[in-house]
Amino acid sequence: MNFQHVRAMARKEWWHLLRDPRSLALMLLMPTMLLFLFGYAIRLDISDAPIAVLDESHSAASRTLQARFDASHAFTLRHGYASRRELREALQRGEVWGALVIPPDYARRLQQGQARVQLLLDGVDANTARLVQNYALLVLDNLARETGQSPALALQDRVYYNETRESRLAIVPGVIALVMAVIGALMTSLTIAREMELGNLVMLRTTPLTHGEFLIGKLAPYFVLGMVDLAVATGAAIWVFDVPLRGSLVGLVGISAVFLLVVMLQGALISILAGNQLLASQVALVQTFLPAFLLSGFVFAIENMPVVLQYVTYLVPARFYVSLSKAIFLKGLAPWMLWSVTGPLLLMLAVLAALTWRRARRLGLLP
Amino acid sequence: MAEPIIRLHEVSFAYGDELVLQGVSLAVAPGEIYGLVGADGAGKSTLLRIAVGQLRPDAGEVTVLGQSYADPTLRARVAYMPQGFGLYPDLSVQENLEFFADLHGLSKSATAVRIRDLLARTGMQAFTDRRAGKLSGGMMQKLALACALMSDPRAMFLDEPTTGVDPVSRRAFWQLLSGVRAEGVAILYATANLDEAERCDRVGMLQDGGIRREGTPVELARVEGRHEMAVSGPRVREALPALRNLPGVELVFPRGRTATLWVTDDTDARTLREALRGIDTQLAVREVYPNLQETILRQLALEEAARG
Repeated sequence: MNFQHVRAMARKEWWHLLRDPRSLALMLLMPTMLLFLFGYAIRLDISDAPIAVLDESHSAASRTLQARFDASHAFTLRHGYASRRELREALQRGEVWGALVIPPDYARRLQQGQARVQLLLDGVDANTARLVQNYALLVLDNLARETGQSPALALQDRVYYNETRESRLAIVPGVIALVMAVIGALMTSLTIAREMELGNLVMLRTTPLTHGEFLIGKLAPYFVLGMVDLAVATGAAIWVFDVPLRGSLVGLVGISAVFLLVVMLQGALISILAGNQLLASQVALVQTFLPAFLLSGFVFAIENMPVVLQYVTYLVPARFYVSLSKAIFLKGLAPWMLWSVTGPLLLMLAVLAALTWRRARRLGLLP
Repeated sequence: MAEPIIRLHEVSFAYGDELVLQGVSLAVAPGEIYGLVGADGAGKSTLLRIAVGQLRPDAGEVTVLGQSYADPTLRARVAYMPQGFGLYPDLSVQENLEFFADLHGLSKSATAVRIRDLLARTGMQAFTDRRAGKLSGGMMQKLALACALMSDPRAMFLDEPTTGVDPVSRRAFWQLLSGVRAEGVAILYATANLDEAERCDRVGMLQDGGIRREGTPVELARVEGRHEMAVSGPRVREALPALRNLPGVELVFPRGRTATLWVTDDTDARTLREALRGIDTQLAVREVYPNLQETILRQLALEEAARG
């Protein structure tokens, strides 16, 4: 391995990057954009959901119930509805996400321990409807306990690692995986294909450059930028999104470097196989971004997927990284404490490195 | 002839079922420019890629500097200018040169000296900071040549390097190439341009997968058993049918007020002049020296006519 050759390739690649504002913007702005977009846009909890109220009881007990809903950060109650028809119309127009109906005999039945209230939900967005329902049940459950009406068998739960059950804490570490997958694979998928497309490789073949030096020199600048992106994303996670980093920073950096190399090698392999930039970028997007988004457990729980798809997720590097990233951030674990997750990622690194190395030999450079 | 630096022996190559080269042999000596001439698709680029070790021939042998490409380091000791621009358009002239200097393992001080020398030879000192993509076509090719020369090669392979370059820049490029030849470098130069072939020391005509004719441009322009005469006069066009029927005249190529005649070797100017008296007394006859480009074009026309 000739260091002068590697340095020449890396420096040249760096010049390309600096002179292509689109690539540079993609590398530097996309991580921040993705982080803020996903960090704020994807919420698996609700806040200030508009709920219409029809109080037919007009009792102290019904007012207490409303006060409980109002006090919850999850709901904002809207009054002034005179009938169930008006409630349904409000739901139809999308003014409210749900409607709470307190029947005339609510106070009396409450004293008898048989009170019922009705919750009408807008089921168009089934996920939101389920969230509203769960939050409403929580309010009712708490009220029942306080008024001595708790059931004989009560569940006393305690949530660890994400005590306030904020979905943001679970999502933001996952976004980091997404950012690195996109940047790592997309950028490297273009770089070798560009040399092939522009015919530069033909000139390089008559130099003493080996395929190993070519590959390392090509990937080095993107690795550095990828790690800068990691620093930016981690900083934003901690200081902007208030995600606690309970585990080792060194562990996070180490496993992130492994993941970045995996996705970069994926991109490089795609680049060599595709041979042109357009095809390479499209394949990279389909091969990395989509699986990282849909099959990594970042948003959708893998356990809830069909069994076949669950097996497919084992081929997605982001699946392991998302899991590790969450464990390091929220559970305070280190990568070496989770060999069942770290191991496959290291195995992927070894396999992809071997495949890319082997394939790069066919570029016609010196062995 | 000195011991050749570039030697191709009985090289054959096929793309699938399509045979492109069949038993091609040629040799290029130190300080010689060998012009590989052929029409588009004749296999010139394929032959060059085989000659620089980027394609493996199906049969035959390639040696450069007495070595085969089984020695992987050989490729680094030859220079190749592919068809089209093989450099980096977003890098400056200086950066492109530095990049290739680094790849050839030149030290910092050696790089500075070499770049200074190459810039002076190519006349590009004033353009060091200009991006390669912003250079004119001729300048681009000069830069590509400078990058190819960075390794101080003994053998060079140039694939139609002046395609799309204006005549003035083309002349400058050839002056540069003449300097390289004077240093004893063996150059294999592929071109479809017969005008350029005349600048080469020797020329090989690549046709139907093989070198059909080979020699100096003067040798190639001279067709065995024939020579050329020019007949001119104000009414030469009207005289063409009669000219074609004159004894010893094989072919007539009219051009303006002149007709070039391919005549048999036993037909001299005096005999022709006497024969012309009976056609038009105002027609003048003179002997012309052969021109490679004209000869080749006429031969092609002749072959086409023979094919019907």
